[in-house]
Amino acid sequence: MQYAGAVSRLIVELARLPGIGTKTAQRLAFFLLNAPPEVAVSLAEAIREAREKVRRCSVCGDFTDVDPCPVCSSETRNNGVICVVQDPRDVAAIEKYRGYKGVYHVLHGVLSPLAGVGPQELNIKSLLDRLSGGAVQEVILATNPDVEGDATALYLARLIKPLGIKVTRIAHGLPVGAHLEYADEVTLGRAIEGRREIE
Amino acid sequence: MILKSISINNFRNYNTLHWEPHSGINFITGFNAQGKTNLLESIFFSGLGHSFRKKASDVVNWQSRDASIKATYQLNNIDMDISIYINQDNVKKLFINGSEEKRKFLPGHSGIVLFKPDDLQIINGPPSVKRDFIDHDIGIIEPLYLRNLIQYRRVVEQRNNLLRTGERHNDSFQIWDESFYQYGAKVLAGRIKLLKKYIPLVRKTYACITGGLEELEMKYLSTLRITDKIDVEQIILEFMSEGKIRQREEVYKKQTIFGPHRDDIIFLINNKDARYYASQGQIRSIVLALKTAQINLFYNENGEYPILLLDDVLMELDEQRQQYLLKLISNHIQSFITTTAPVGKISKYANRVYLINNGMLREVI
Ligand SMILES: Nc1ncnc2c1ncn2[C@@H]1O[C@H](COP(=O)(O)OP(=O)(O)OP(=O)(O)O)[C@@H](O)[C@H]1O
Ligand SMILES: [Mg+2]
Ligand SMILES: [Zn+2]
Repeated sequence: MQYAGAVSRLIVELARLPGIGTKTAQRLAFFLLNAPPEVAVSLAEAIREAREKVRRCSVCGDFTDVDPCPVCSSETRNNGVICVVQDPRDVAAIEKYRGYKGVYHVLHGVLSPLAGVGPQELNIKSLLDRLSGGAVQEVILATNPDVEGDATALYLARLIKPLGIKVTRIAHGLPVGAHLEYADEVTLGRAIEGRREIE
Repeated sequence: MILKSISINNFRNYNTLHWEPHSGINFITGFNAQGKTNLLESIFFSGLGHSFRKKASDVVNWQSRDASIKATYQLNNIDMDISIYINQDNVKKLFINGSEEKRKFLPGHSGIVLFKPDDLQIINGPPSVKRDFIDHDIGIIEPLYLRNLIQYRRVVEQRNNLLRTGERHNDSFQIWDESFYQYGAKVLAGRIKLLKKYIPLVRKTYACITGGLEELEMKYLSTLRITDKIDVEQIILEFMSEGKIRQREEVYKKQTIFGPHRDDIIFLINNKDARYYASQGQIRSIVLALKTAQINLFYNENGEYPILLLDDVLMELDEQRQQYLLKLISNHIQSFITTTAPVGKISKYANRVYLINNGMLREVI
């Protein structure tokens, strides 16, 4: 179906969002147009404000509105342990668990030739800069336990090991005797406890 | 496993059908295009959550918007109620004992063995058909194997993409090589393990079917140099050396040209390659041996026999082979056997004979 200029532009923009198809985009667009004007305006403002204020932390790469981010500037965190994750959502997931006292590094992706992502596309150079200071004793690789996450972890391990830093991988592997179906439910936080050193 | 009852609604050419089949051998007869295969398909669907033909939504009756199947299975003496709803958008909802569940919890995985005419391709079709048979029909007993296989396919896809774009020099290529070797080795070792369990069963059954007159061999032809005693670590080394040898060829062909996704399986009857020398009947007998061995394998794994679905393949065997199979399944295995031919001589094996006419089922014996 064809809609007038402004409506169709809104639908096109919404449909760009991940997980939103044209049908859902239409639903959202008509919701916004039927609701009181404040609803749409306040959404638009929230988006604009977030986009203006939020940037990548110059140390770890996580999204933040103060630079460096609260974790990187905290006095109580252990700067000697860096947990490397693929996106900011993982930081939030691990923070929820509270048991982790180290700091983070966000790659903003994983190696995937199919998606056109090679090492240059990832936030790796700044990680190496952090490691060259000599203060870091351990790097925990917490990319997802899938093919791309594993390959990225392996790639990083190859880069970091020669620096004489301990490199560990979180324990996403199946606990012995556990049933396959429950494997996905192991939380990231708990997986950190069971991390293993990469040979 | 036993199918105690099945009700289908608007499924293919059926409007409504409620059926309580016999727990032994059920013959389903009828002219062409009356709904025999459709009925087997509904049983298969209730056990596995998908069809053995194409899209799920194709099963919805042309006059209807949605279809449903309800079935009650008995497994280890416990009843299991399955309901499946399918609509034209290809959406399925699936319930086990009243609560919504994922497909993998359905009882048909390693609980149903299907033998249909195009299974002859497993013997004389392309290698991909053979691999799929081993990977899916036999691999179903090893969830971890299937998981490794899915990841292996993904790695090959990623690696192929680098080869296609000519980025073999890219400094991350080495990592994709390593992942490829590791997952490839796991898959290959897994396949060898599966075949070690399975092949002896196949050979034994084939010898029985032919009264000991013919010897069947089933050989795994790998693109890597392996033996059946090899372990994962050794396979990784094989991958590495093969990778070196094949490097230039891969750069030229722009794809991954070795590994378990390129392997083949051949069948030999008395040392002669079945693809070229076996008769139609011999090829059917090999498939019969494959399926019978699959039944035994599932029994060994689960302690319970699967259901057997035979679509237009029994009457095509000679009398001796028909008798062999019927004797084997009578008393143990609930079977659903379709045929257009009169049941005649073998009716003594039938616990029930049904006639299907234009989507209606009638008991005749
Ligand atoms: N979605 C559908 N809705 C209604 N009818 C369908 C649908 N899909 C297939 N059919 C019809 O169902 C009929 C019966 O098909 P089926 O394959 O079960 O026949 P059969 O009894 O196995 O025949 P044969 O002996 O030739 O194998 C076919 O004529 C086909 O046109
Ligand atoms: Mg048919
Ligand atoms: Zn930071």
